[in-house]
This record gives sequence, structure tokens and C-alpha cells, in this order.
Amino acid sequence: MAPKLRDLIITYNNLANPDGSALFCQGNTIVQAYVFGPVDVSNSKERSEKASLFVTFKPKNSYEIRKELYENYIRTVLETIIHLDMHPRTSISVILQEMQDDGCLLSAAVNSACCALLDAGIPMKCMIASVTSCISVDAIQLDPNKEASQKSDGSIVLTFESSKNGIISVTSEGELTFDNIKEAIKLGCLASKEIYDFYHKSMKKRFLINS
Amino acid sequence: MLCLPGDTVTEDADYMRGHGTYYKSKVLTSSVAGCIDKVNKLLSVRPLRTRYNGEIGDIVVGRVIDVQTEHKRWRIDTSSRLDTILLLSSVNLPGGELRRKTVEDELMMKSFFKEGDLISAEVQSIFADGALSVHTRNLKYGKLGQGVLLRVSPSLVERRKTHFHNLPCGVHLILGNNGYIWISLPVSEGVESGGFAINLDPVPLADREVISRVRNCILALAKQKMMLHSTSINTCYEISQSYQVKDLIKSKIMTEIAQLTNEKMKIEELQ
Amino acid sequence: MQRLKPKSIPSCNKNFIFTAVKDDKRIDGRSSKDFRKLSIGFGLDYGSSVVSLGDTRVMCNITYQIAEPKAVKSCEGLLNIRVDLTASMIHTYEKVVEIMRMIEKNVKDSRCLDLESLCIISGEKVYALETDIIVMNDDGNLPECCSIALLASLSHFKRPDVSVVEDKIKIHSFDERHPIPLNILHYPFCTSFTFFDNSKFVCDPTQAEEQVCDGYLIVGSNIYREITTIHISGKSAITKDVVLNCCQLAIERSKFLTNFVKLVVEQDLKKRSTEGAEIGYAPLIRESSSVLCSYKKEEIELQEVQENYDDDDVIIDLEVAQNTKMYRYASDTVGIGEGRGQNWDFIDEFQENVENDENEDMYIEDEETTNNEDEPDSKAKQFSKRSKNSNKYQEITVEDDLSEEEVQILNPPEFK
Repeated sequence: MAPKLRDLIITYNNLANPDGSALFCQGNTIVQAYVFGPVDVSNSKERSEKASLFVTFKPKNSYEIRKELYENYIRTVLETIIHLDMHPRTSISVILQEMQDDGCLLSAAVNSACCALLDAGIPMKCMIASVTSCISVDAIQLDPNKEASQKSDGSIVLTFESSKNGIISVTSEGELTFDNIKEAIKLGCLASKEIYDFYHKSMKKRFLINS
Repeated sequence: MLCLPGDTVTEDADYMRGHGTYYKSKVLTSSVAGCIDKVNKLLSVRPLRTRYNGEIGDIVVGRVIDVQTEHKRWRIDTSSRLDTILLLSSVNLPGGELRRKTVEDELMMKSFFKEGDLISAEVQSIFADGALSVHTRNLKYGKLGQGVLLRVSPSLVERRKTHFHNLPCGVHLILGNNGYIWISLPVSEGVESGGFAINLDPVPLADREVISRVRNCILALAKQKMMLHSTSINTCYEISQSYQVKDLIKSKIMTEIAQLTNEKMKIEELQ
Repeated sequence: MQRLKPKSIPSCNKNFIFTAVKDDKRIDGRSSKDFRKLSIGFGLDYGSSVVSLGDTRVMCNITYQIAEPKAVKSCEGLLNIRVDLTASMIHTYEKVVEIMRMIEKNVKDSRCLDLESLCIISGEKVYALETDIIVMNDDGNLPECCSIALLASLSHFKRPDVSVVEDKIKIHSFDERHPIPLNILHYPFCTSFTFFDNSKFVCDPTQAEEQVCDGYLIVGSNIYREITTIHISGKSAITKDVVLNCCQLAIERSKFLTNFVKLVVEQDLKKRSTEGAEIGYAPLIRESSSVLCSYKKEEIELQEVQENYDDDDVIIDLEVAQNTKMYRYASDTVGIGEGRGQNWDFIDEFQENVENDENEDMYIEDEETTNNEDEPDSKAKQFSKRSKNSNKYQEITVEDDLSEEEVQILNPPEFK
């Protein structure tokens, strides 16, 4: 079964101040990511062997409670793939601003962080792609919108990396059976390849002489 | 050739690793999104945008941010990740004398370089945390006077033997490795300025036009992400003669002259 | 979170901006009283908007909560405003507080929102509106952009309908009952003016101009000619006439902004009621609309009209073409007239000093000289004189006791 992702659109470098910025749309879920770094850091926060990574997730409405959870997830994922030891005693800040939420917010945030890091030229080991699947009554749906995910029994967010197509991180909510998880991983693998293709195409456009 | 992080650059063990790459179990892989650059046996990946990573021997153009008398140094902004440092012991005293730095020199630091001054310098060493230490101990480095400063991405300036050029069109060009480019009036060979005195004579209109034209040419090349060196800038200058200086900032014309420059250089390379 | 150091401006750039302003010229080609292109986009949810004024981009989101009212005002709802400047990372804490306080003063103290309509059970439960103003890109003139974003979001926002049954509150979902928009009594917009050299001022400064200026004045006003807030800062010493002139300018600007915001909100609400229409930010990003992506203003070259021309081509008179410059701002917007010197003057109500503009070019715009696309945000339409036959331009009614209805077209020699 070929996975069907919603339309992906990306705009790079649309903010003047940050070193790298990307506006990522997955259907109607839109996240703006920007990256500052590597920059100076105060003595208390500096680490002598690697760069300190700060991730801030800013939800649309500032009183939301999910943000710590999302920040931790995204930070662990990014710490695996960024070459932090290339820039010791500096800090890299990644800020994600939620603009519109129509389901799969965490996946969209991870993908947009990856694109902003690409734009900033920060050395990474490989690319990452994140997909969400939701399960309702034994039917599994890839990349659900808000309505579908609210009606579902459970959902799982998988983050893949491009070098061996391995899974870096998993997080789930609700009830899932073992078969559901296997199915989700299969679908996710296929979907992540589409996402890598999309990154490739969008980057290529930036290097063309007439764009 | 475009590659993204994680893509294999080469599996050949002969090549040396340059910037933007890393070894993943003996296979050279890219760590940034960019074009592969091959210079003899050195492979590196050049990203579109990056902060400047200094190397010893680089020429940089920077602006003085502040003067720290108690530490006997100046902090320079070179668009790198940590501020560049210019130590008092790394400058020539005015007049070119060589003597020990005294307490009076410390207090006179502001009269040498003050905040906002533009200087050209060479990277002497790198501190443990990655900050660069520069020196101006040569008479060709020092304070920059009247001219135009351009900021482009550091990846567009190649490392070459000299970065100081006197172009045949009549300008003096300093291509800083950090992406800061300085265009000014030609400096006659053999003049020992000492690096502190700047020439404030009024610049005639014809010279100003030449400088503006060179500036617009460099911006056109930078927009098309072409490498900047004296040949490409010179070729672009000659091609741009068919347009007026003020027309050179229109994006269509910028694309056109950059493409023509590209073609002309390819032809010259083949010859 | 690290604070970056702001890029210092070289002194020759500073001097250039100063000398240019003295001659009524600016670096981006505008004249001192021209504003940048304004575009507003709305998101999927009600109350979410992005406003971009040139390259300055601000997003505003509004949600609601049910909360207890304040003890002293037990039958009024609550409005909480928060401003977030982390994207620019170069502003000091004081600047954040300054902007926040100004927006609060402008919107809350002027009572532009009818808070009593947000009351559900007096003394116990009211609607509390949480507003988040997020600055995405700072290229100068933040107070104006933030106030536009806030008012656009407030006029776009809809709250769910409630019914009170005995002591229980039932909140109806949007499908059950139509949501209710907020009751906005008037629209107070901020306009900022920056001063160079105590008398010359420019409207809508860019970031470079803001860093270099001597002082600035922010005026909040609405279409009823009420001044809701005035804030002067910096080191320039400005006279009373200049302040009054700026207030008049601000009133004109807020008239334009009020109409523009109402129009854009109406268009968006109409789109939502039609089936299958695309709403939200995604279609804006797909079309690279100037709201979310930076644009570069480009001059358009005109060609002589040939025999057969398409309906898509836009034709203008040769005389007009020779005297004006045309700029393309985005894929769908073209403007004429930006940067031409001012052709009008202030009629001083108090008959004291008059600010004389240098420009002698008294050019009366005919009916043909309209903007090519009837964009409501065209700059050429602002501050232009009203010719006898045209109804398209805004009226500058400064004197109330003028016997004629139209504005007098002044010639500088009359003011001696």
C-alpha cells in the first residue's frame, strides 16, 4: 500500500536575522523553524567537548502544556544527528514556532528543524524524516489531520534517519498492538523515503542558476 | 554536484577530507547540504550559507567592535562564530618602529584602532576555544580608508596565493576569506603606509563610478553563487560595460551578466 | 537563550541616512511620508493572523479561556496581551517591555473592545482572551505592525456561543451554533514617526533608520479622530506643531488601516463560507505570497503598446508613464507613485508655523491615474489630493469650518 502524505511545501531563508530558517508545511500543519549558531555561549552553559544544543518549541498559544515534551523529544533527536563535537564551547539554538496545527505537529516540527539546520550549514551526520500514524479500530492511517487523530485510539510518531534508514526515536500515545506498530514502521519507512526525495528536490532548486 | 548530509562523496581512499565532510567507517560522507568541490586530491562540500571558519594564514577584513584595554586587545567582527581577537602585541606601532609595548601604549589603544574602524589582517593562530587571533604586523595590513565594504557568503571566496589585487580597471580589491570584500582606490606599489594613517582626500567621480561598478558586478556574481576571484570579477566588469552602473542592480541584468561571465570563463579555461 | 549583538552601523552610512532625510529621500526610494507594502494573511483558526509591513513580519494568535473576572470589574471579560521577540534576539529586555506596554495602553486603556459582552455569569465566569503577538522578523516599525496584527486578529476572532442553564454553562461547538465575533468599538492603530535633526521626520522607518534616528514618536489614533496614545522617546526636541502634524497624519493612516483591515477580514470570512475554498496559511506559502516570504521591490519597464494586446496587459497613458515609476511588489501587486515628492501640505489649524515642503510640483491626479490593480493597500492612494470629480481617494478634511466640501488645493505661495 503506497503511503499517502499530504502536500509538502517548504520555503528556506525567509527570516533575515537567524543563520538558517525554514517554513515547512505538511498539508495544513505549518511550522517555522530557525537556527542560530554556532555562537558564543556564557561560561556556565559551555561544554568543553561539544556544542550545547538548545531547542525551544513555541506553541501558538503560550499557555499550552505540551511544549516541554516536544522540546525534549526534538532535542534528543537532533543531538544524535548534529556533529556537536565539531564546534566545542559554542551553542546552537533551534527555535520552532507553531503556526498552524492540523495534526502531526511533532513530525512537522522535526522535519522543519532538519531543513533549518540544512539552511544554516550546520554539519550533520544524515537527514531525518518524521512521520505520524494513527490507529483506529485496526485501520492505520498515515499522516492524519486533526480530526482523524482526535477520533483515533492511538498514534505513534517515528523518526527515521537517512543513512541506514534506521529509527532514531519513537513516541506513542494511546493503545497500540504489536501488529499496529509493525505496520506503522513499514508505512513510515516508505513515507520517509518520499520526504528525503522532497528535501533533495527543494535543495536542488536553490542551487539552480535561474531560481 | 549537489549532496545532502549522509550522502557518500566518494569511496576512494585516495582523497583527503576537506570542510563539510566526515569519515563514516572509511567512506567519505558529506555533513552539509552543498556542492562538492574538488581541488587536486582534496574533497570538500561547500554549503550555501555558513559562518566563517578561520584557518591560519587567512586574510580577513573586519570591523572593530570594542577596545579592551585591560586585556590589551581589540575584538573584531568577522562574521565567524566567535569574535576575533587582535592583541596589542600583534600590531605595528605607528611609524613602523619596533619596540616593547609600554603602559602608555595601552592607554593609547583607542588612538590606534577605535570602535567602528575597518581593518585588514591575517590570521596568526587559533585559540583553544576556536576564536581567531589576527595580526597586522605587515605594512600591507592595517586600517582601511575610503572605499566600499561588501558582505558575501565566505564559501564564495577561494583560498588563493594573494588576496590583495590591483585590478586593471583601476581599483584595489581585498577579498577577505571571511566573505568581507573591500574595494578602494588603487594603492601604488611600494608605498609604506604604516597601516594607521588613512587617506581622506576627496575621491573624484570617475573613480567612484568604477568602484560602484565593481561592487555591483561582485553582487551579481554572488547572487548566482559563482566563485569570486580576480579573474571572474575582471571578466564580469568588462561584460558589464554595456550597461549603466545603476542598471546593474536590476535582477534580470544581474542574472544576465553573471551567466555571460560564466560562459566566457569556461571558454577561457578551455583555451 | 543567547542574545546576539546588533550589527553596528558604520558612521558613513549614518551620515548618509541623515543627509538623505534632509532632502526628503530615503534609501529604499520612498519619500518621507510613504509607508511600505502591507499584507495580511489569516490562518485556519479564527483569530490567527500574520501581518507583514515590508520585511517586518508579525504573527498574532488569540484563544479564549473561561476564567474568574477581576474583583473590581466583575462583569467584564479579560484581555491578556503578550509580546514575544525571541526571533529577532537582538532586542534588550527594556525594548520588549516598551513595545508590550505601548500595545497594552493602546488597546486596553482605550477600551476599543467591549469586554462586557464577554461576560457569562457576572462575578463568576467570564471569557478571558489570551493574545500572543509573535515577532517573526524585525525590519523596523514594530509598534505599528504589532498593533495591526492585534486588531486584525481581534476582528477575525470568533468565540463559541454559550447558554447558561441554571448554574451550568454550556459551551456550544462551532458546528452546533454559529460562533460569535467580538464586539470592537473602534480600531486604534499606532503609527510611528522617527525624527532626524529635530524637525525632519519619516514615517514607517526601517531598522537602519530606527538605529540611527534621534528620537521617535508613536501615536495611536482611530477614525473618530481620537488619539489613544502618544509616546515620545529619544533625544530629539520637537515642537508642538510637529506633534500635531504627526497626529493628523496618524489619523489619516488609521482611516486607511481601518478600511483595509475590515476589507481583508470580510474577504477571508467570505472565503470560509464558500465550499472548497482554501483557507489558512498553506495556500499563501504555495503562491509565495509576500505575507510569509520576503519580496524584492522591482522597477517595471514599460513598453510601447502594440496593435493587439491581451486583456491581461495593463495600459496607461504616455504622459503618466513619463512622469512616474512603476514598481512590482509581489506577483500580483503593482504600484505607481511611490517616492514622488509630497504634493500637499498641512493646513495649520492654529495659524502658526507651517511646514513647507520643498516640492513645488503641484500635480493634480486625474481619474486615469489609478493603481493598476485595485489593491486596497496601494501607497499611491494615500495622502493624495482629491480632485473635483474623483471619489476614489481619501479625503483630507483638516479644517471643519471650510465652507466648501472639498479640500483646498494649496499653493505654497499663499502661505507667505
